[in-house]
Amino acid sequence: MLERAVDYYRRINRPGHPEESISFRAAVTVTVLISIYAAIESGAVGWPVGVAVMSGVVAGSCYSYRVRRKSSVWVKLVLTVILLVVFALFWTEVGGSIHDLRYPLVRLFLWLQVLHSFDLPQRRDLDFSLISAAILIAFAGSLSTSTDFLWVLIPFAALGLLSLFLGHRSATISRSDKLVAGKRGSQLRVILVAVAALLPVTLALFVLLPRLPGFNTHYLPVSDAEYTPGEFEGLLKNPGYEGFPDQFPANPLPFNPDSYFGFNEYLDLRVRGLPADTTVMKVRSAVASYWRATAFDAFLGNGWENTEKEPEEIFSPELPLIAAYPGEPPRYRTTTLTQTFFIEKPLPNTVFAAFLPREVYFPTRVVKVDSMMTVLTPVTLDPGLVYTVLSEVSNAEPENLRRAGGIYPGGLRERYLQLPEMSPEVESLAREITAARTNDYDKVQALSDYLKRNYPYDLDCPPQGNRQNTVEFFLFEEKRGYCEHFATALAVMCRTVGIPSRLAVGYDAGDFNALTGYYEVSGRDAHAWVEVYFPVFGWISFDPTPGWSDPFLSSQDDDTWSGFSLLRGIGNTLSRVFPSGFWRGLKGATGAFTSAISSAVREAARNWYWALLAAFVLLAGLAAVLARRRRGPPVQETVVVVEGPRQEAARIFNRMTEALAKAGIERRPSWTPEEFAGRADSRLETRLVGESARLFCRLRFGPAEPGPDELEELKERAESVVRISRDRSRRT
Amino acid sequence: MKRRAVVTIMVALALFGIAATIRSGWLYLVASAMAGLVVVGLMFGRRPERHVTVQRSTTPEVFEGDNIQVRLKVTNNSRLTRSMVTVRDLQFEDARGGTFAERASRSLALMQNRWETARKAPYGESKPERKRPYTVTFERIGPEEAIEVDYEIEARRRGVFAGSEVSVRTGDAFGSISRERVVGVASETTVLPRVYRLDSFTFKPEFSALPAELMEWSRKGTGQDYYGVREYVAGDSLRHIHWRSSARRGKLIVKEYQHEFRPPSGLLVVLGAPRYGDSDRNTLEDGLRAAASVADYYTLMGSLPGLVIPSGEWFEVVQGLSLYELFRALAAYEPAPSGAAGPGCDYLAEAVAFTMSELAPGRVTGIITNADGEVLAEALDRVPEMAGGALVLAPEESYRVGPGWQPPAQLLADLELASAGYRLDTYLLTPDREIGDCLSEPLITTAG
Repeated sequence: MLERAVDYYRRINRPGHPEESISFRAAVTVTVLISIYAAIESGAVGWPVGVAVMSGVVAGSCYSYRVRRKSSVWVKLVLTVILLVVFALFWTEVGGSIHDLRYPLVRLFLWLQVLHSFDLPQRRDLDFSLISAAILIAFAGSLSTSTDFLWVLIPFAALGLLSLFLGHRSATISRSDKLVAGKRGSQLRVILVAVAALLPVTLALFVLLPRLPGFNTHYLPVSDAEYTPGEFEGLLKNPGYEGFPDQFPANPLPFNPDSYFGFNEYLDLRVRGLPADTTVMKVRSAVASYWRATAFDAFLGNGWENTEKEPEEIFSPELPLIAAYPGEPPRYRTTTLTQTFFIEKPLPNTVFAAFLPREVYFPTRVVKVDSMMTVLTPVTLDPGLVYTVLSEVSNAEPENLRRAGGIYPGGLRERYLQLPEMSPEVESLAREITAARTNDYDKVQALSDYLKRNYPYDLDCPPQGNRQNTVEFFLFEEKRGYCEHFATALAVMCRTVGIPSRLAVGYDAGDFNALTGYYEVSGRDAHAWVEVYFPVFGWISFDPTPGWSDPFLSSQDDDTWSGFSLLRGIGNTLSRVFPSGFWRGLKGATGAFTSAISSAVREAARNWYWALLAAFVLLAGLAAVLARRRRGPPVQETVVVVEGPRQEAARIFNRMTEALAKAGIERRPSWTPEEFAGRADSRLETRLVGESARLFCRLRFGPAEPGPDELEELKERAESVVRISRDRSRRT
Repeated sequence: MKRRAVVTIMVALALFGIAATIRSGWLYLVASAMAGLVVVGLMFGRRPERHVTVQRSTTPEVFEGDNIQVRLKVTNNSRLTRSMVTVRDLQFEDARGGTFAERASRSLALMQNRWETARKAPYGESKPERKRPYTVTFERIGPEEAIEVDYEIEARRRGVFAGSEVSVRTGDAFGSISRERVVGVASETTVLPRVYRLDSFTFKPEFSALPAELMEWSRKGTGQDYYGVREYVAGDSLRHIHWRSSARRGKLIVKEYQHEFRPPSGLLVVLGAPRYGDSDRNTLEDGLRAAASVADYYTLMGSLPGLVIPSGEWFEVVQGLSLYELFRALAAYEPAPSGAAGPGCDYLAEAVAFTMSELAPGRVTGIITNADGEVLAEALDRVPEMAGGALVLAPEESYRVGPGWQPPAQLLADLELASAGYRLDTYLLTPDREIGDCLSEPLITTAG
């Protein structure tokens, strides 16, 4: 039985036809090496391991080439055993890291590449290597958060395509009994044409591929390093505003462009400045949302403050940390949104997430949560940190909110209707705007629309007075402003008409990069908006700033066709690459062209007979071109005869005939070679041409193929004739 | 769409699924590039074999097993360059096309054959190379360009071929898609049955109607006097050509012997459609090879035989002026009408009677058939005037069983019965031996 099993194993592993093309093997090996480099760059493995893997692949490929014709049964057995061990290690690693399978998968594929490289006798094995390399680079791409990955992908694609071409060529040639080789460079042209076609097709497919919700599996990357708090105060700490008091300051805070001034225990509305346009974080999320940092409940006239100084501590020995606040009212009509944050600049110790963060996968065992669902972490968010949050995002429809009712949890109205002493004009204006509205939702919308319609967005508005009320300053004095002004005005106006509201700060969604699949959030995306309480549905976000839409509506947008954003990205890149003068020139040229056409049409309308003549000439020309295209040019068939000794003989004879023609002895088509030779000999007074012609006829048309000696003899004779004819032409 | 394209699409779909799940833009891009590869293949490989024409010319006549000289001219009539154009010469290839059932049946048989070959192959050897059509690959054919190539293929199958088929295959640059078009090309070739040189065979001129003392052989080395040389006349054996004299004089000269005598001979070939064996070795093809070899031997012995072969429901006599005309008739041979057990008794008896009546009675006669032994015995029993000669039988059973087959006692008894009363030497064709070996020694010899 065992003997039969071994015999069967040997039979099914009989060596096939080995792949002999070294160029194909080399191209595949380099492609694989690029994929390994991508895996190293993605951080799946370190450089020492990566270099070892690369060396293993190179060594394995060389070994495979050497033993390609052998059965190598023992090598296969050893590789099988190692493979089983690798799989065991993989499953062990997977068991210990359920949140992100990509790292173990990349490591598994690296091992597979090394092992597989020792068993590449045939073409199909090399094809498998290519597929494995494609999967490896795909995983590396999924780990990459940067557009720089393109510089790895381009050489990979180039080498991969070259490998495919060489593999296909090798397969075709190996199946052929005879190859008629093309001219030098013709292969390169074929590849270039194919690549030129592939690029737009790939771009079109990328744009048109629907961004489906997939299998809706939670994919929850978290940084490995664990942050254990030494001292966890439970206050919001902004690394850009360290050393400032935790209470609202008497004088405006100095502006720091590297950090948003709203990420503090208070929001000083007197601060002026433009944040730096650098990426602060990248977010992977199914839909765009506002990445909320914190909220403020108390309006101070020229700023906001979070009055809650002792948030609840949430402790869990293992992830996730469930962010829940005691007495939190239930919310209806919510959906779960998974977001992963990749921090690139130092940020305050708060969990940025779509409202309302519920399950937090953060490398710590303890967080603090206040009643406004600001989740504070023990440490500030440093570059390189990765965390994931599952938020309960409201998907309430406006119609739901209109019927929300008026039963509020105890104490909520008192807290979120608080207002300082201020001009009654604010309340009058708010009541005037909402006079015709019968429910809270319509009132909030009316106020928001009023602000959007009547107040322009302007980052250059002058600073307000140190003690001046910001709402009065914005609504009645300056009448322009930016997001903090709009949000503060809406929140205060809501409170004046009895709608509980608060101010939230964070970042807006940022720019979606279709290549990486991340929302890239820059410092300038720092934003403020309003949260309004609706019984049963909880806090709902509204954004009165012109140019922004309400987050609770935009989070329900369908992003199935978000691939088209790549085109916008390409347009933006082009506009950056080409100077503005280019675009102006293009616009001017287009205008000049259209005006020339229109003036020509006007002129034609006046002198219609000339226009008729021109149209006739144009149509006649067009018809001639079409007729020619239909008939096609006269076919001049070129017959290329595959070189052989007979053709070589013909070539030598033709050379001799051409030389004689230059000397004035031309051959008529009706003359046989010997007839022509007789005439040429009589003109040249020699017998060499006749001898050459007879030898040529024997070699060209004789029963046996001419040998090299005979060809050499013909060549010598023909060259003698060429010399004689040259002498003759010089003399004449 | 080739396997490479299918795998590429599957991997692209898998990556698309993962990309949708983890919302990775790069995965979308890699999946798009892989799918794009197949799309570009479909675009470029759509119908690039159009406007590619093939002309083919071959050696007009050749023996089975010898090489045919082929000249192939491939022309690209379009204005675009064609790259990696593969032309396969499908002459002598198995049947193509047909209904789905026929194609499925052929595929199944092919798979079984491959499995059997693989199963029987010893370990350590490379997988056996499958016989495949001669294939020429043109790396590039420019616009309006024609390329000629010469090559040789083995004439694998007897027959008269008015034309052949070639397949033109093209595809995309990366081997994802390929398209093949089979076109018919006119190139007439006659493949004559393979002839085996027989050192000895039944040739008994003493059974001829002519007096035995007038017999003389024109065979060299049998003790006859060499007379001289003369001009070649149609019907002379090629073996008697005196090449040196021919070369010197520039025309064919044959050696002449003192008295040439051509004893009359006849050859009856009644071979029905084969039931067992493969396309190369079966009772019909082996029988025709045997017929050609016997005709060659008779001619060598100085007697160009008259040939009787089936023609529709009846028979025809081929009495040409040269041996090659007999070979051509055998090349064009169509199987005799036959039932489940081969040619029937009546048909066979009529064939023998026709031969006896059309050819002079008492001729040296050979009979070559794949009829059943019992049928053969009964048919010969009805033709009492047959004098004697050779009987070559190709038993279907031996081709069904294959190597190791031994003639059963019943067959031997039938053959004894068939040859009883005649002076017949009986030969058996079996697939485990060369035709020459089969015809070297008779199985049964009867003195009559």
